[in-house]
Order: sequence, then structure tokens, then C-alpha cells
Amino acid sequence: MATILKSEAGKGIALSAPASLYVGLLVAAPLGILVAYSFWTQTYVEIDRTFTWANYSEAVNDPLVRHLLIRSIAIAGAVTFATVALAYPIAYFIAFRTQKKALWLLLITIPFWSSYLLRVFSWKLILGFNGVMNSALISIGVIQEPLTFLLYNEFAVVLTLAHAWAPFAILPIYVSLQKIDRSLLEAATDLGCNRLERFIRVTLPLTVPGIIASCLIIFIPTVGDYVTPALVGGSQGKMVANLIQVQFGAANNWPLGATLSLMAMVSVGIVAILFVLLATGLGRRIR
Amino acid sequence: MTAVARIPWLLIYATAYLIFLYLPVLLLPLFSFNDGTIVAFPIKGFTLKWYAQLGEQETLLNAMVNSLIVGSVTALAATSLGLFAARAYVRYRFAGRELSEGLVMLPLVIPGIIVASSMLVLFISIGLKPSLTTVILGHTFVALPFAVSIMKSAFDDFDQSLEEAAYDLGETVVGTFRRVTLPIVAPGIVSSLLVTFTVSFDEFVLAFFLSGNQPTLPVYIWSQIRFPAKLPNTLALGSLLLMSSVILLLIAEYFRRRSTKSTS
Amino acid sequence: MSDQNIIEITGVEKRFGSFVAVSDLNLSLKEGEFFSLLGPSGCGKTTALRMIAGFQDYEKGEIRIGGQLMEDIPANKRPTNMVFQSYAIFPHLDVGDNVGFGLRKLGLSRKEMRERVSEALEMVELGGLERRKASELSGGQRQRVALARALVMRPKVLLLDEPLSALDKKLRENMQLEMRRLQQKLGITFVMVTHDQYEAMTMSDRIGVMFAGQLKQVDRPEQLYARPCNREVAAFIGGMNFLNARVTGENGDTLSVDVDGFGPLVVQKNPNVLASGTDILVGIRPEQLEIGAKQPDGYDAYLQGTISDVAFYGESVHYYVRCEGLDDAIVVAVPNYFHTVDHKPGEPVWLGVQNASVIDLGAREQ
Repeated sequence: MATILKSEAGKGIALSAPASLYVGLLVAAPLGILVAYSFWTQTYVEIDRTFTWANYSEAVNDPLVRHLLIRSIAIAGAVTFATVALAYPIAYFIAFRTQKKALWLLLITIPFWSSYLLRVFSWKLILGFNGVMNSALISIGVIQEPLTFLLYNEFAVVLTLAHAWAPFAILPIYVSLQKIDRSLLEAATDLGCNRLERFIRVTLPLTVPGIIASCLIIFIPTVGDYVTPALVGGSQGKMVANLIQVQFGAANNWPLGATLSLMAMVSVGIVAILFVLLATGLGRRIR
Repeated sequence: MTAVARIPWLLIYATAYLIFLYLPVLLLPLFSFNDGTIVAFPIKGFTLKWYAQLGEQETLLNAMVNSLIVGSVTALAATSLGLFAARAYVRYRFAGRELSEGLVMLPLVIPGIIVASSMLVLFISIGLKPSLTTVILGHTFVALPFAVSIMKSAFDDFDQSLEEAAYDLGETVVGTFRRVTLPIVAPGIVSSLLVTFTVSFDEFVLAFFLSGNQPTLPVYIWSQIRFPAKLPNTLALGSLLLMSSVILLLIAEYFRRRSTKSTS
Repeated sequence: MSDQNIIEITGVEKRFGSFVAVSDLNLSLKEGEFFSLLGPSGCGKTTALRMIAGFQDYEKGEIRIGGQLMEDIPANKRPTNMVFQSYAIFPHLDVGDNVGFGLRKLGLSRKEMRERVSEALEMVELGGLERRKASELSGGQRQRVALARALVMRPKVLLLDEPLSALDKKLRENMQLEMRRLQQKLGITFVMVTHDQYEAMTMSDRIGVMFAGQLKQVDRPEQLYARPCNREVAAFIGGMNFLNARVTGENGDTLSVDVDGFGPLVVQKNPNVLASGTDILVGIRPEQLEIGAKQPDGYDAYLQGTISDVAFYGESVHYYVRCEGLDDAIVVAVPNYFHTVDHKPGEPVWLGVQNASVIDLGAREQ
């Protein structure tokens, strides 16, 4: 041991081991047990440990599960697109159009230093039937009757999450924009590109890694988001996480909950990999 | 240059976007002072009674204490783990370094519901009842990536010859760490403690699954959201939390900047 | 300087994977000398310095300091101190605490510590700046603090890793002289690593030249300049015209040679050359050639050519002369005596050389 600790590599491994072991164990062990549970069954509080595919066949054949999974992925996709599309101009603005970069970055991150739960809750109050938005619009006379499409649907979920994830899109894109050598842009202009062409042929391709990074950071956790659909989704906006929570809570069917968790994870993984392949391919096509 | 002034579309957009970002954060405090039970315009009048009533609720105070305990222990655990790991990543080259670096960032991208449900199953299976302990274990897991990245940036610009110089001047390995390394990365450590504390203090889903009958503040708030009569109190409480998070993290940011300034 | 050896390095080798950073290093340094390790970047000079300091392990050989084997002695217990290339000034401490950093371990009283710190600061002409913050120091001051911090420990050997490379030219030249004076006053052995030949020559008693992990030649600066051991060393230190020559006769300390272009000349045998033979290489320093529109008087051999380029350096003018039968232009450096540039490109000129200016560089293939 003493000689191992003397070597550079040994010191590195010893120092990083606690953290990586902690994360490794808390990823591997729960997942292992989750997999085990997904092949078991539960009646009331008793766990029946005989191997069965029953949970999987139940989940696959249940149209509600399929529907929720597809909806979760679709909503996550919409959230990802909306967030990145809304964030890109901001990142561009901070990178190229302002001298006060640090101030703007600070301004943009401050709202996200508050509890996620509270921010979602606040959106619920803003979008509600008798909420802030409707009452404000009525009192200034824009509308007579409260708008009903604001809350308890997919729109509310997408809006709330696009707000929640904003810095996760702005920061990676800002970093990739900031890294662009300004002389590349001058070279493009010098070679005859106008501003739009220059953006499409130089700036955009160079920020593809940042875009991909923000898409993944947003998409993956969004598929499994619980709070937002529960608070502002209504019945139209429910997602797979809400179903999973029910299995671990009121329905008390842990094996089915485990199965759903695993299925959600696998679907996220597949979609994410497909997305990365597609995006890198597209990034190469723009020349 | 042409004399025609261009309309600063991007600036207009950026300003609108900022309003969108701040809208929900500013509304909670605004309505927490409103003398009415419905959150809608017009505002009825100014009152502090919703805040005053908070002090009388015992379950709230219990939840507050729980959150403070969980947050403090989580901050200490995650920051210690992160401190050593970050030092290893920045300072040493070893087999599996990139794998290990990727691994500790993993908690950032696993959907919360999956972390929560799988940990619940694990802890029950090994006979660990849901309690503050299990919440701390879970929160340390999700806070670790934050600690590692803050500590990594604190170590990043740290000139390695500073440690060699101390050692060359006769200090021991431990003495070098204490007299040179620690003071220089201290602002990073403070920043990491504050950020991981806040991550834990604000976290809901894991605590919801793992806290059993010892709710943390967010779990308590979740239970209150359902009751319209309690709405003004919840707003007051939420505003307090919102403000304390923002203040804590502004302080953390101050220390983080100081740490990168002093080492470069 | 005494004749006592302070550092003895024998057969030291260091590999990084398959890359040999330092191979079979043998070197003895005398007490009180200023020694420089000179070489291009990546030649292994810094690795060698770090081995002496104790920051770098090695596979083979041994290092002794003051007669004591250093193998199991860690860097913090060695009688050496180092001035780092980046200076490594502790950013969280002021000047006084930086300089006093190592004294804390010596068990001195507060008063003694204060005295030694202020004495060390006086020595580097920073007297009274104890409470100055590290961030408020200029580059030159940082260098002085680093120097004081190492010297205050009263090391047997002071190690300096490119100590002047971060400074601008003017400051660097001042510091060269100042450090040399300081070293002579203190009588401590200085071992400096540098890639700057002029820095090495102006400061050092002796210089060791390293290429690709090998110590090629160790000599006094003027010897290194006058008798380099091969083409590599000759080219690294100062300018040099290389010419092929054939040995036609040998007489005691001298060789009769037939030099390309110039013809027959008699040169001193160079004791430093690594290998000799009949086909040898000779070198002529640019400043030791005479140039003129007419054939100059009193030289041992002559060559005619045409000026191809003229480069004005201020203190001297370099003429590039193309000569029939020679692949490379001959470079002639003429001191700028009268603010005139005497020749223009295209002009035909005569070159003259004396026997004593021609340096034997040994066998051509090596």
C-alpha cells in the first residue's frame, strides 16, 4: 500500500476512489435491485421472489403505460426544442452583443438559485383559471373571460420546463459561442459571406457540440420529471414519472414501479443515442 | 459604417426573456405581502401577517430543522468527497481518471424519479428505513457533481510549483496541504459548501421518496400546496426560502470568483 | 570556489515510458561554482535539475550532495532550494511570509526569523517590503522574492529553473549581472537551467550542454565557444560557418587541412572532439572573418564570393557571401564601427581567415 501511494497514479486513484465508489455504488446497487424487483411480484406487503416476466408484459400491454411513455418523450422533446430555441439568441447576445457578459450571465442564473418546486408552484399560480395572468389580462381589459388553455395541459408543462431549464441551455451554448475565434468570422466575411450565411456556415456548425450538450442535459432528466406534470400538467399533462410514483405510493406495487423506471430509462437512453447520432450527422452536413 | 441606427432586436429579445425568467421568482414574494387569500390581481393591500403566522406552526419548524440537518451534513459530505476527487482529477494522471470523472457527473443526468425510486428500493432492501439518514445519502449523491465541478475549477489554475516550493522549503506533505493548498482553495471550499447545502435544501423528489415521516421543508411545502386555505402561508414560506437560496448562492458565487482570482 | 565537489551525479538515467529523458548522466559540481545546464527545450535539463531537487525519481545511478547519497532523502529534507520558473509565490501570503515560509520549520525565534527575512530581502534589494502583497509585485520583484525565499534557507546548492525567462530583455540583462554578483558574494553553488546561451555564458563558471537527454560537453564559457565538441554544440552556442575539410598531415598539436573554398590551413587539434578522422568538419565564427572589396593583407587563406544578403543588427552587420563550390552562404559579422554599411548585395568581395580562427570539429559523420 505504501509503495502504491507513493506513485502518482496511486495517489490519484486513492483520492478519487471515495467519490467514484460512492456514486458507482449508488448507481449500480439500486439499479441491480431495481432489475431484480422488476422480475418479482407483490401482493399487499409481501414480495414474491419467483422470477416472472409478468410486470413487463403488463407494462407493455397496458395502453396507458405506452401512452404515457410516448407522451413523456414527446413532451421532453418539445421542452428541449423550445428551451434551446429560446435560449440560443440569448447565448448569442451575451457572447457577441454585449460588453457586460459577467453581469448578464449572473442575471440569467440568479432565478435558478431558488427551489425548483417553488418555481413550478409559482407557474401554477400564474397560469391558473383565477390566477395572476388571467386576472391581470382581465383587469387591463384585454380579455373578458379567463383563458382556460393556460393551465393543466401539455402547454403548461412545456412552458414551465422551458423556464426551469433555461440556464442549462444558455450556458453550454454560450461557452461554445465564446470559444469561437473571432478571426474565423472575419475570415468568413472576407471570403464573401453575408451575416446570415456567416451564421449558418460558420457560427452554427461550431456550436453544434454546445447544442447537443444542452439538449442531452435537458432531455434526459425531463422525461423523468415528476413535479411539473404533477403541479401544472392536469390529466392531459401527466407523464411517466407520475405513474411510477403512484406504484411506489398509493398503488403499492413496487415491482411494477421498478419495471416502469427501467423502461423509462431504457427509452431515454435509446432516444438520446439516436439524437446524438442524428445531430452529429446533421452537424457534419452543414458546410 | 452606415448612419442608420439598427434596431437592437437581440437586446429587446434578451430583456423580454429576462422578464420571463424573473416572473415566477418575483411573483411569490409580491403576493406573499398581499392582504388576501387569492393569488390574483388586483392586489388588495400590504400585510406581514402571513409571515407572522409561520412561526406558530410546529410541523413547519420541525421540517426546517430537518432540512438544516440534512443540508449541513450533505454539504460536508459532498464537499469532502468532491475536494479529494477534484484534486486527484486536476493533479494526477491515472488509469480510469476519465471514467471516474464521468461517473461522478452521472447524478446530474439521471432522471430524479429513477434515482429516488431505485434508492428507496435499495435502502428498504438492506433494512434502512426511510429517514433523514437516507435523505442525506441521496442528497450527497445528487450534490456531488456540483462539489466536484466547483472544486475542480478551484484547483484548475492552482500552480503545482506552489506545492513543490513549499515542499522544497522543508514542509512535510501534510504541512504543505495545510499551509499552502488549503488556504488557496479555501474560497472554493466555502463556495462548494454553500452550493451543495442549497442543492440539498431545495431538493424535493428524493426527499419525497426517502424522508419517511421526517419531512424536509420542500416535502412540507408539497403537503401544504394542496390546501387553498394555507396558500398565503405557503407563499410567505416559499418567498423566505427563495430569498435565502438566492442570498446563499450569491455569497457562494462571490467566494467562487475570489478563488479563481487568487490562484491565477 | 573550492576544489571540493558538492554534487556528484553518476550514471543517472530517467525514462518516461520508452522516451529517455536523461541518459547516463555523469556530472561533478564544485563548491561555490555557478553552473548552468544549457540546451533546447525537451533536452532533459529540467528533469536533471528536478532530480537534484528531489522532485523527480530516476531508474539508474546515484546522486550525492555534500558526499551524502540522496536516494531516500525527500525534497523537503535536502540541502537544496529552488527558484521555480513560475516563481511559485504563495498568493495568499505577503512578501515577508513568503520569504519566511521555510524558516518556520527551523525552530527559530520570532526575532531571528524577522532578522533573517529582512536580511534576505536586503540582499535582493527589496528591503522593507515585508508587508507588500504577493499580487502587488512586478515580475522582477516576484523573481527577487523567489530568490530571497530560497536563499534565506542557506542551502548548500541553489537550483534555478529558467529563473529569468519570464522577464523582459532589459530586466533580464540587469538580473543576470546581479545574480552573478550575489552568487559570488554568498559563495553558494548555483545550478541554473536555461535555454538561453548568452544567459548561460554571462553568468556561469561552467556550462553543461545537453541534447536529447545526453550531456554533450561541460566546459568554461570561453572554451565552449572556442572548442565546441561537435557541430550540434557549435551551432547552439553563437553563430558558426561550417566547412568540410580533409586532413593532409599531422604535427603534434596541429593538423594540416585542406578546407573547402579556402584551401590549405593549419588548425589546432581540438581535445574535446568526440571522434576524429581524415574527413573532418571545421568551423569559423562569423566575427573572425575579414571582408573587403580588395584582397585584405595578412591572412592565411582567402576566398572570393558575392554578397547575397545584408542584415543590419545595430551593433554589427552580417554579410551573407555566396562562394563558388560552397552550398551554404558564408556569414561574416562586422562590428558597426563608423555607422556605415560597406557592402551591398551583388558586390563581389574577398574573405580572409587566419589559422587560429579555424576550429576543428572532428569527424564529419557523427
